[in-house]
Formats: sequence, structure tokens, C-alpha cells
Amino acid sequence: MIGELVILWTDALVFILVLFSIFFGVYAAGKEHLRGPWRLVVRSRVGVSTLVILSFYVIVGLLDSVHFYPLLPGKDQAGQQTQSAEVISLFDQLVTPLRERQEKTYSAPLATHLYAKENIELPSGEVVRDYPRLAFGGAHLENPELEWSKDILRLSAIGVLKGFLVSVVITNILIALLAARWRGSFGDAAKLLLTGNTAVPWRVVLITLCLLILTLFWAIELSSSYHILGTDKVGEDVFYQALKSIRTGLLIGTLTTLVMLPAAILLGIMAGYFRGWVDDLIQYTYTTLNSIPGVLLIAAAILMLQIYMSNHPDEFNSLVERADLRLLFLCIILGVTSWTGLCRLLRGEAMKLREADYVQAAVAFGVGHFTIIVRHILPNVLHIVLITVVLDFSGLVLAEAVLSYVNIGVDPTMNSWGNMINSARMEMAREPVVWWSLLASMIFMFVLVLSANLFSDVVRDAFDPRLRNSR
Amino acid sequence: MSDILLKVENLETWLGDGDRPVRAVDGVDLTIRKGETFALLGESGCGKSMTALSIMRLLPPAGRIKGGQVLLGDTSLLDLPEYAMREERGGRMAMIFQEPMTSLNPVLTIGQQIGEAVRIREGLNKQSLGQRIVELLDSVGIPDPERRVSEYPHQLSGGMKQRVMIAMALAGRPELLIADEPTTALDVTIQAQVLNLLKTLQQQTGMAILLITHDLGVVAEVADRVAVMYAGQIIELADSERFFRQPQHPYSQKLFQSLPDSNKRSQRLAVIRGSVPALNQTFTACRFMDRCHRAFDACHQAPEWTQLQADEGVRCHLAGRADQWQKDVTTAEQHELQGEVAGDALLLDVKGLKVHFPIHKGVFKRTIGYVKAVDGVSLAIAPGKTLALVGESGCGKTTVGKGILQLVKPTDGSVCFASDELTQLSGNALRSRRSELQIIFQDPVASMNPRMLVGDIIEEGMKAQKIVRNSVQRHARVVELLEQVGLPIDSASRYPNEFSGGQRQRICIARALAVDPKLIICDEPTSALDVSVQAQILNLLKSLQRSRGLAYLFITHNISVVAYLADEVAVMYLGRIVERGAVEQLLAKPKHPYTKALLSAVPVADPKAQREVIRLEGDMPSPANPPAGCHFHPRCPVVMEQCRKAYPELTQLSDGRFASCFRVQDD
Repeated sequence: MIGELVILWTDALVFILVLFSIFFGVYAAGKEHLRGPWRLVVRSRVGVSTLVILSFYVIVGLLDSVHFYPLLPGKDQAGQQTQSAEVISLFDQLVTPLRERQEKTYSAPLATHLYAKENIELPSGEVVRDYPRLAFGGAHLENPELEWSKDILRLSAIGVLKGFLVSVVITNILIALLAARWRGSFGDAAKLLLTGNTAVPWRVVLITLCLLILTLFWAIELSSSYHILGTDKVGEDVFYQALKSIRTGLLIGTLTTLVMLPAAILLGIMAGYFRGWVDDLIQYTYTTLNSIPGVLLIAAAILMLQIYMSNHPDEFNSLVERADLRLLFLCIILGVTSWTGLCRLLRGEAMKLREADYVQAAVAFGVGHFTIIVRHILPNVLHIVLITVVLDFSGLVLAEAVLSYVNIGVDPTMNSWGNMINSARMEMAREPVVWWSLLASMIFMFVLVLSANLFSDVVRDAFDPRLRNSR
Repeated sequence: MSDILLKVENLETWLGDGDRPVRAVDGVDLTIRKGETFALLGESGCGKSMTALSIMRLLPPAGRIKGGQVLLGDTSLLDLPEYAMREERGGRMAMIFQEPMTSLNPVLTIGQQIGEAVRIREGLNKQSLGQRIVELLDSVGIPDPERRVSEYPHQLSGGMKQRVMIAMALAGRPELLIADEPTTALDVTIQAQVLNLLKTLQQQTGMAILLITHDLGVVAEVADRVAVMYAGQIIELADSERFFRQPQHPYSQKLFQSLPDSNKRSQRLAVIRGSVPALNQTFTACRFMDRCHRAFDACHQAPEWTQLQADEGVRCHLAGRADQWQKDVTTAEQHELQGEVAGDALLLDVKGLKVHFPIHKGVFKRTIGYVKAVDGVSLAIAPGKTLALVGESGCGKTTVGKGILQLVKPTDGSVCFASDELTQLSGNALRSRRSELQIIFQDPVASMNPRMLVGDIIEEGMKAQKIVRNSVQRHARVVELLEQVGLPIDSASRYPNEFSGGQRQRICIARALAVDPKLIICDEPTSALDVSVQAQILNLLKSLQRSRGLAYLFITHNISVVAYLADEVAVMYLGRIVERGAVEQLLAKPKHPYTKALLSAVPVADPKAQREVIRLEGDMPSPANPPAGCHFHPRCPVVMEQCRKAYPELTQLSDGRFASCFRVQDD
């Protein structure tokens, strides 16, 4: 089913980021000063439960970052399988039914009828004006008015039951793994885990995971026959849109940081370490940059890119590639406007560290500047970098929503929570109100940002030496 | 007895929860009588401050009082509700802390802060409040109190701030003043002022003082009774006079022996091996057993408190035994360390060194003046010798060290090291000479990168200087160095935070030795350490000097260390050297009035020592704006008209020493 792979710019960067994280993880595992705080993170209850939720988002985002041309079922004259002209992702492939079951226009969550009246021609030839049945949502029901609630209950029960079974299986696997690791019996491990007497709060992990699985299976079961979050103006499933938006949100949150990190770290440390004219230059640069309103800079950059893209349509093979370039550009320009905060922090810290006795000792040994920066200063500011990255993440996800709302965010064809909210602007003014697009994007964004914020709190507590000492 | 003010019985304070709480205070009993000064003496980490904080009920959030009783008069403090306790704090008892810099709020004036304390206690109207504030400031000896009332803490010096803290404590007319290391952060001349003040105030008000300190000299100076604390317990209690004449506990005896002074120059200092045990364990044996030179079989059983006389007791199995005073092994430890390294040529010759830091102001950062941290210092060190640079904090002695190392670029002057002019070198030429000069810092915690392994820290210099290129050989050398400074060889693969202060200082010494230096600049290497650990480090430095022929520039404010270690002494005041000479000469017969005052202010660990403290008024002026004429003249007890006009040149006297004073030249 998978045809030629397409590696978009952002996909490449995402996988570089994943590689980088793995590399950093291996590096950190050998360093007690980095491993210790992470151990604190995974021993906190809030830490692990948010980690489970965040990993759900990350998995969806990663699956959505493998793009390819799908193969069409038929064969062409040469006996070759034909490729579709449309680029889709692995995630799209997994949720094909959600993607392909398009209705005509708006329909409410779990509805069986459209949200707008149409002229319907009855078999008798008579034309009435009424809400027509949906093509897919609840299409299997003979008599929706009577069977609907029973059917919803039945599907819910099946979904919850399936979820429960999977949860039980996963619980057993986890206990078996832990028992093997602790070299104890299965019964002992189960007892320890279920009474919550473990260093890492596995019980909390399990509870969060089971709740997530139950919700997921319930949603899967219902969405096999209904649009659980309704459909939008062109009849696309809103649940599918919300899920697709996860990738956009995550990318904005992470790639922006990736773009800004090198500049912030390098310039910040240089300014603080060398002082003198280097410091003056860097300081004036970021002060100037900070005085330009960020939104204006972003708007200007995005508009310029739009003009470039409309003048050179031949450079883009597909709509997806166009949208992708715009996303990347947005990340870059957001990065350019947001590196100053971290840079300022690092400058101050480097200024403090260059006077530290161990840096003076290194100078007294005749160690070169570059080595001092890499060996003595960088490792001692890494905790600040980490805290800033995690704290900035949720802010950037929200920023994307705001920018898309004023039309200078991601491409309108791209699924994003910002675009969903933007379209909700018209829907909310409609009578009767269409509320589900807004609600869906709110729920998904809220869960992500809340988990990210809680998680970053835990990370900051673990890494900030002052907070650590006061505990 | 009715004159008992504070009675603490079996006090237990634990820090932290979990399986192994730290038993910071583990069954402390003490009584303080009205009007007496009771000293609580001990090394860092043995629970002195926790005892005081438990009495005040001001423990950090992790701490809790597990048991015992604290009676202030007839009131049981531990049973009081919090609102009643607030009445007692600052009322019948008050506390002053070690750091006067951080104990005052920088955005409120002195008057507002003292006024707050007065208002709570007395609720006076505005006018009498103002009067009371001035009266309090006056009583703690702050000159011109009417003007000081409206000043902010940053306008006062450290000694002044500590006086303000004392004034605030006095606001409630306390019966008990708890002073937690009140002079540790201050210079000796200021320390003398503050101790004097506490004594005077005690005589005037009749309050009792609980003095917490680690300094035997301070105890000898002011205390009536002494309790020695070790690992959460009181191990000895005695009259001050008896304690200094004949300490009972082996620990106290060793403490006295490990104090450096000029009589011990030719021997190793007695050391107490190891360090204070961790308090998160339950002890069955005597807590001091592992470090005790007199340990025997009975010590595996924790000793009970032995009451010797009405007010005297000791927690040791030896107490009262016939062999208690047996001469211990220190005699055997006396090694002859006399071994002169001959050398005619000077190793380091500094002439007219000046380090000025510009003061910038305004938008264009115009230079409007200079902080003359070092203003024309000349000194010389021969190979294998030790020059001690002595002075109060802020006189520029650390900057001299950094200026010599070219860590701070000197403004003027010459630093001639083994016939090379270091100030003229730069870049790689300078970098390659760096192996010959090394530095050891004051704070062993801050002087090592916490993110690096000890082995990497020691190797760093070797790599940078390309001394040993082969990594196997480099590793072998690290092991050799660790052995030399007396650390286990597996230390190389551990992080600095796993070591105690003394051990870290050893690592710093090993790091400096790694590049085979000829001169090591020791910037107060022992002032952050306890007395017993200080002795270990001084012994190490001395034996290294002998075996490797090292020269030291020893920067310190501790005169007894100077007497023990140095060959020559230079005394610095406000960026200039005021007197320089051989150590015996200078310490025995100081000539410059500042040197005289400095030496007289040093507390001696012997209450019978009759000495007259020359009290210096005021503080050292700012180096940004030194007084005209002789820099010392505003504080000098023997000032002449001439001193206000010109700075006396440093001239050589007939006995070979140098001094810069008009008075001295008259001799």
C-alpha cells in the first residue's frame, strides 16, 4: 500500500530531533548530574502521568510525519501499480475510514442527520425540505429515532470492554517485565505495584495508561459508525482534523526551539564569557530585535513567502509540500523572535560562571577559550536550556493558534488547531451555532498544553538547584 | 537554682523524613544562667546552629523537634502556641546571625527596620520611637546615629551592619541573646570591635549570651562557660578557664594541638583524622571513636555523660580514669620539617604592581574614576620559600594574586617570574608559562567544575600544557598525585560533591601539582575549613614544599597560620604594602601601627593571655576614594600632621624589614 516515500523538510527535522534526543539520552545516562534530576522527574506522580499523555501525542505526531504516495488498488496499462497524486502520512493510512468518510456539510457530533435542511426527493417523487440522512454517520440504522441511543450504548459498551481487555493485558505485561527486572516472582511484583510501593510510581503510570486506552477504544468503536466530534463545513470529520493538528502543534513547539537553540546558546555564552565589544554587539542585536513587535515581523515574513510561492508554483510538487514550507518558515521566524529571552538568561549565567574559581583555574592552566566554553560553561548552563525549552513549548503551541487565527500562521489547507479556531469564528456567528470545531480543538490543545505545563513544572523543580535544596 | 534562665533538656531535632532522617541534635542538655556568656563550640555540621534554631523554634521546613524540653524561666517554649512564641522571639530572647549582609532588607532604611522591632515590643508614639531608635544605635556604638537612621544597609560596612543587627535584637530588651557565629564573616579588627561591644552590652543590661562559634580564640575572649558539641551531642562542658587549662575530652585536646602557631613551626601539626560522621545513622559506639587517638575496647559502647563537678562533665570512657592524662602519640608525630632549600636568585619579583578597575558611568560609559584595588605593590619570593600576604578583606590581596597570574591584566608594574616578564607576554607565549605558576582557591566547593570527574579535573592542566600526551601515562600520574595528597586512588572516577571540604581542597592541590609548578599562590586555602581539617591541609602544604621545593605566596587573614607556615610576611592595607619583613621579626615586634593593631586584635585561645587590644576606629575606606596622605591616617592611633599630607614611602629599616610610616622612620 505504501508507494514512494516523501521526505518533507519538517519530517527530516523531526527525525533529526528524535535522533538528537536519543543521543542526548545516551549521553545523559552516563552523567550523574543529568541523570539524577530525570530520576526525580520519573519518580513524581505528576511527572509520569503527564509523560504518558505526552507520549500519546508524540506517537501520533511521529506517525503523522512519515509521508508517502499511496498506491492505488488498480493497475495501469504497463501492469504497474499506479501511485496516487496525493501525499498522505502513515497516520492517514491508519485512520483511512475517518479520512475518507466525507459528508456533505456540517453535522453535529454523533448525529445521523445533516445540520442543514435540504430538498429531499422522496421515492414517491414528492420533494420535502428536511434534514437529510448522513452518508456514513449512523448509516446502518434503519430507524435512527428509535435505535440511535441503543446503538450508541451498545458501541460504547463494546469499546469500553475492548479497552478493558487490552488494559488487563498491558497490566500483566508490565508486571511480568517489572518482575523480571526485580528478579522477583510475578505475585510479589503485582503486590508492590498495586499497593503503590515502588520508587517509580508505576501504579500512576498504569492508571493513566488504562484511562487513555479506555478513551481511545471507546472513540475508535464509536467513530467506526459515527462522526464523534461531528463534521465541518465541507463534511470532513472534526475528530480526524483535531488528531491531524497534533503534528502541527508539536512541530511548532519543538522545531522552533531547535531553530533558536544554537543562536541563543552560542551568542548568549559568547556575550557573557568574552564581555567587551562582543557583549555590546550581541546585546544591541537582541535589544533591537526585541523592540520590533514580533507579530509584525512574522506577518511580514509570511506575506513575503506567500508572494514567493504564488510566483513560483512550479517548485512545489504538491499542496502538502507548499504547506510544509510555510510551516517551516513559521518555525524559523518564531525562533528568530524568541531566542532573545534564553540568550539573555545565558549571558547572565555565563557572566557569573566566568568568574567562578574553576574557570579561573582553567585559565591559570592555559586552557583555550573554546575548551573552557565547551567543557566548563556549557555543561553548567544546560539545566537552564532544558528548563526554558520545556517551559517555552506550551507557549509556542498557543502562539500558533493565535497566529493562525489572524491568518499569518500555518497554511489554511493545513490542519491545525489555530485554523480550526479561525473557521469557528464564522461558525459561532451562524444560527444555530456550530460549536464542535471550537470545542474539539480546545480539548486537544488544552490537554496538550496542560500536560506540558505540569510536566515542565516537574522538570524545573528537578533541575533548579535552589528549589532542589529547599526540599 | 533561681538564677537559671534557660534550661534545655534532652533536646532532639531531626531533619528530613524518610528512612534515614538526619539527627542534627541528639539529646542535648544545657543550662544558661542569667548574665553569663555560654559558648557552644564545634566544627561545622555538628548541630550547633540547629540547637539554637530549635530553641528559637525557627527550624527550616524539613526540621522538626522530636523530643525534649526547653524552659525559658518557667515557660516551656516547645509547648507554646505560635502566637505566644512570637512574643518570646525578640522579646525575652533574640538572635543575631552570621551574615549581616543578608540579614537586613536592602530597600528599607536602618531606622525603619529597627523601628519595626521596637514598635512590636513597645508600641511607642512616633516621637519617642525615633528617640528609642537613636538610643539603640548609640548603644551599639554607631557614630552619628541621627544621620544613620535614614541610611540604607548598602551604605554601611559589614561591621556596622552587624551592629545594626545587634541593635534590632536589643529592641525587645532580651534576657537571652543567641549569637550564631556573629563575627565569622568579619575581619579581625572588626571582630574585636563587635566582641567588645557584646561584652559591654552584657555588663550594661545583664542579659545572657548563647554564643555559637567554631573559633577557640573567640571563646577564650568572651565566654564564661563552654560546651563542646560533636555529632549532635555535647561531649564536654566546663568553665572557660578550666577548659583552656585542661580540656577533658580527647577531641578537645586534639583541637588545641591542631591550632597552628609559631612554636610549632618545626613540627607537623596534630591532626584529627577523618571528618565528622554522617548524622543519619544510629550510633552504638562512641561517635568520636573512629577519629580518636585514645580509642580502646570500651569505646564500642556509647559513653554516658560523666558529671565531674557541679558544672563540669564529659562524655568519654576515659573520664576519671587513672590514665586519662597519659601523654598521647603527638610526640611521635613530631617530624623535623626543617629542610632549607637553598637558592639565591629570586623566583618571583614583583615591582610596582598596579591593578585599577575603571568605574563607568552614564550612557556612553565614560570612565569617571578608578578603583585602585592594587596600587603599587612590590614583593619578591625566593625558590622554596613562603611569603604570606596578610590583610583585611577588601585590601586587594586576592587581586595581587590574580594580577601575578595574569588572570587580571595589571594596569602597570612588572611581574618578573624566573627572568620572564609576564606582563609583556600574551597568547600562546603566556599560556606555555602557566604551568609554573598555579593557584589554590579559598572555596573548595566553587573551585571545581561540579560536572566533571575528579580524574578529568586533575588531568585538565596536563592536557592543556601538553605535559603528558599519552592517556595511559596521564592516568598513572593522576593516581600518583592522588596518593601524594592522601586520597584513595578510586577518587578519580568520582564527582567532587562526593568529597568533604578538606578532601576537595586536597583535590585542588593535586590539580595544581599536576603541571609541576614552581610557585603556588594559595588564596586563603584553609579559611573555609574546620580547625582539625585546616591542620591536615597545612601539614600537606608543608611537606609538599619540602619534597618538591615549592614556593608559596600565601594569601590569608589568619595570623596563626602565617606564624606556622611563612618565612616572610607582607602586610597590606588598601592596595599597598605597609610593612614587610621576616616572620619572626614582624610578628614579634611589629613596627607599623596598622600591623600592631591587626596583631593585637587576633583572639588567642588562652583566656589568661594578657594583651592590650589596640582598637581601630571605623572601617577601611573605599579603594575608589582613598584618603589623602597616608591611607591609614583616619584610623591611626598615632597620627601626625605630616601623615595627612603625604604618603610615606616604603623604606628599608636597619633590621632589614620594610615599612611605610613616618613614625617608624623616626626611630
